[in-house]
Amino acid sequence: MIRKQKRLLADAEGRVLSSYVAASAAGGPALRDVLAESVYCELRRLQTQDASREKQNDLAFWHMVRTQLHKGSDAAMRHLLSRAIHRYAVEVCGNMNMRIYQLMSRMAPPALGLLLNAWSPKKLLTQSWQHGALDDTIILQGETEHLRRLQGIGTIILAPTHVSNLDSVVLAFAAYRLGLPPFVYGAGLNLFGNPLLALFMHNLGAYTVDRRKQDPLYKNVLKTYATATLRAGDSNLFFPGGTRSRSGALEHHLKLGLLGTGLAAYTQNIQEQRPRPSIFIVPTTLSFQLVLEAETLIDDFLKDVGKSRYIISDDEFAEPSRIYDFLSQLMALESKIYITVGQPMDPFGNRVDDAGVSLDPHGRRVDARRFVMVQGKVCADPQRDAEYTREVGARLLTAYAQDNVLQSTHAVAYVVLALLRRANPDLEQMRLLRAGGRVEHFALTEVYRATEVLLTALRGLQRAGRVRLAPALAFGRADDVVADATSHFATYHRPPVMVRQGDVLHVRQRSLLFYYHNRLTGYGLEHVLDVPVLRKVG
Amino acid sequence: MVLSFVASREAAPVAIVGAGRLAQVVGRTLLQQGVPLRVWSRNREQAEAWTRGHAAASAHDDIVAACAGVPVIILAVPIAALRQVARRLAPALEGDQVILHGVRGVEPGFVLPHQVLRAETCVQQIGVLGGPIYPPELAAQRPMSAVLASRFAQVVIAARAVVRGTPLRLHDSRDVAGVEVAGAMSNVVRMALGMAAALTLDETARGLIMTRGLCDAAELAVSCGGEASTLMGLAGLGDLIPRPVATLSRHYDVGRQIAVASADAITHADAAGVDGLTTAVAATAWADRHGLAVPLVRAVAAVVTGEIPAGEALSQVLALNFDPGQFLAC
Repeated sequence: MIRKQKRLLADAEGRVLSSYVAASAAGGPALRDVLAESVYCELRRLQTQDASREKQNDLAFWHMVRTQLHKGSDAAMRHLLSRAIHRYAVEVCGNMNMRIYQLMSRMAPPALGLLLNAWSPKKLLTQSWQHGALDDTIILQGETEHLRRLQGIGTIILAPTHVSNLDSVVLAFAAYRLGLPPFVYGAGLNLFGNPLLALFMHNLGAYTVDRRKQDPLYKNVLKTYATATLRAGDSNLFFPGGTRSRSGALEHHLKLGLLGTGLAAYTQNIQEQRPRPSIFIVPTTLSFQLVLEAETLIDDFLKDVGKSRYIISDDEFAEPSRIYDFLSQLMALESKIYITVGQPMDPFGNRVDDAGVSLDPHGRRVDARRFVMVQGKVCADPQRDAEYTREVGARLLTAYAQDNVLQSTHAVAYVVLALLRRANPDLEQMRLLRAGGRVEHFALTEVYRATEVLLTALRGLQRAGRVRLAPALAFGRADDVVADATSHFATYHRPPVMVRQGDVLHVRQRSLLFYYHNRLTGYGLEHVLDVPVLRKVG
Repeated sequence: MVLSFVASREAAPVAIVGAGRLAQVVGRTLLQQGVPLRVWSRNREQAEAWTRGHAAASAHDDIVAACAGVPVIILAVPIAALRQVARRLAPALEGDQVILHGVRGVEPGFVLPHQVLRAETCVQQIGVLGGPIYPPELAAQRPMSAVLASRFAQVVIAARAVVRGTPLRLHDSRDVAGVEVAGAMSNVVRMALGMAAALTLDETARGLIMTRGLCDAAELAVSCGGEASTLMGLAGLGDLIPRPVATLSRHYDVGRQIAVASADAITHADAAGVDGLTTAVAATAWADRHGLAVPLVRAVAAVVTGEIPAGEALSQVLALNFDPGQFLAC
């Protein structure tokens, strides 16, 4: 296994280097210019970094490169570039201890289940740990059988929505339950701040992604490494949104760079006539009734544009006690986490059948290889391939919207925010969220009526296959939905999102209301709650 | 003779779907260059009539037989027939084939032609032909410019290879939605110009209608993911200017007739499948959903649905303040 890892790394390094050498020979940027760009990006990044041994090492290396840039021969430039590439490659996956990886890939998911269940001691006493509370909490639905079958036929790229840092943990558990081997995935450097979860992630196939690094050479190494793992048949997990959704809304803009490695790996597999060349991209949608880091995420979103942080390292995920509180409360409320596996597709956005064969829109089998052929020959074409990947991105967004499972907290947040807006018509939305309005409480009967209206609209969307509803929303009564949401909103977040006092509902955290409400945006529901004129509570 | 024989042996065949005026003229032009053709049309006699006597051209009964394995397929059918044709064509297609289409108009719901093709077939390498293509002039071997829009560079290369040596010069664009909206909307604008002519409005009014039409089209294009600047190019402005001069357009005539004798003319045009009618109505519904102003499109839609007479509709549009910033803001 360690040998395989080393081979993948060496393979990726070789490919990156030869791509630059070939490009430079064909009149593209000279190796010197490639290095100069790296020096510029890295030195600029290091300026903003706090002092550390790592920073010292990086500075020393890039200063050395800078001094060599104008002296060396072409061969020296090539050597320098290969050193820079090797440095990046080691950083991306050189830290992985393969022995621990092997041990953990067998042990971790059950251990994780035990760990998570142990946080709910009451359940641990009453149920066996392996099929206990976590099985009840995580609902795995959709094309799970299809996914399991495809695992034996080709290589999987799981492309989930990104809500919380718990996503990768929850998905690792799901993969275990489906009997799939652990996924290889890139995890942000900042995630390794939590020592407990770092242990799991580091050893569940995670390689390191440092999103502070803007150097194109670094990104190239990262993509080439991901491609190498895919070619070796290791299933990958990419979050195409790039980062956790700040607003709480579904992804509406995807980062296609890593996603495109699926197509690159497929083309290379075909060219090299590998035995299992197929790559399948599987949209996966996660839905939490409460989100661990909701407060940090929405605060970041509401900051002025440009000031928001792409990388957050000091959120709730860094505090094990917060995770403990969160999970135990989730289980006490019998809350559900939905993982919906969508329709798998090939790297061109075509659906695939159970045997992994691509289908046209009418379900007729088509030959996937033909999509990368020009005049009968398989070839890579960056322009064409970028278009295919854009198509895959568009299909992912459609799948996310259709497989999004709406829960009571989302629906009631939507209703209460609509009431809040209506009660304070003179305030613009951002002002209302930041400063608050004059009226911030509503009679429960009013909330029930509006919820009823929204539920009718949501059930219509569900019938049309445009969204999924948790059973409470699909079949429940409005007052039960509101009661479920208020009990969720009253527990984990401090102060609570909203509290019920007698027959009146008081809003306490408007920004969180906005966060959970955002899960319903994009469905054309804007005017649904305008229709009935509701009475204001005095 | 020997040379053309060699050329026809070497050139890859092209399939032409449709046997209308555009299909025939493009087909003949390609035949002159020695490109072997496979032709399919719903009306077999029509396809046979113009391919007869050409050894390199064959008319087919079966659309799948005509198009299977052919690298480039040219679709020249009316928008109303597009979905049905695409559905019949789908079993012939694989991922490396290229479809070029010259379909003007939109389906109800403002569905663009390339969206119909994507929904019905597996082909992604789609190109749209737009701009001032006039079959009679092409038939007369006069030099002609057209836009070919595709997201795929490979499509442009394939299309250029097909028209090499013909008087047709292709200008490439990446804005598929923009070119399709431009093509559909220029028929609507031309209907409005026809109405203006029948109402004997002055040249100023005609200028205003054209400019307003371009603005509306730009707004619609942007809402479909296209670019406003496409409307200032050959597919938009370049398409709109020549035709009224030549008064060749069927839409121009339909506009005139509607302005003079509305109810009858509308029924007649609707029955004849004039796509500008569908486009105006679909665009108005689309504009409502997306909060677009598009006053000229709305006026034409109101006239063709019989809501108000043409004179009243146009004078309402002409009375509006024209803000060029609206165009630039798109």
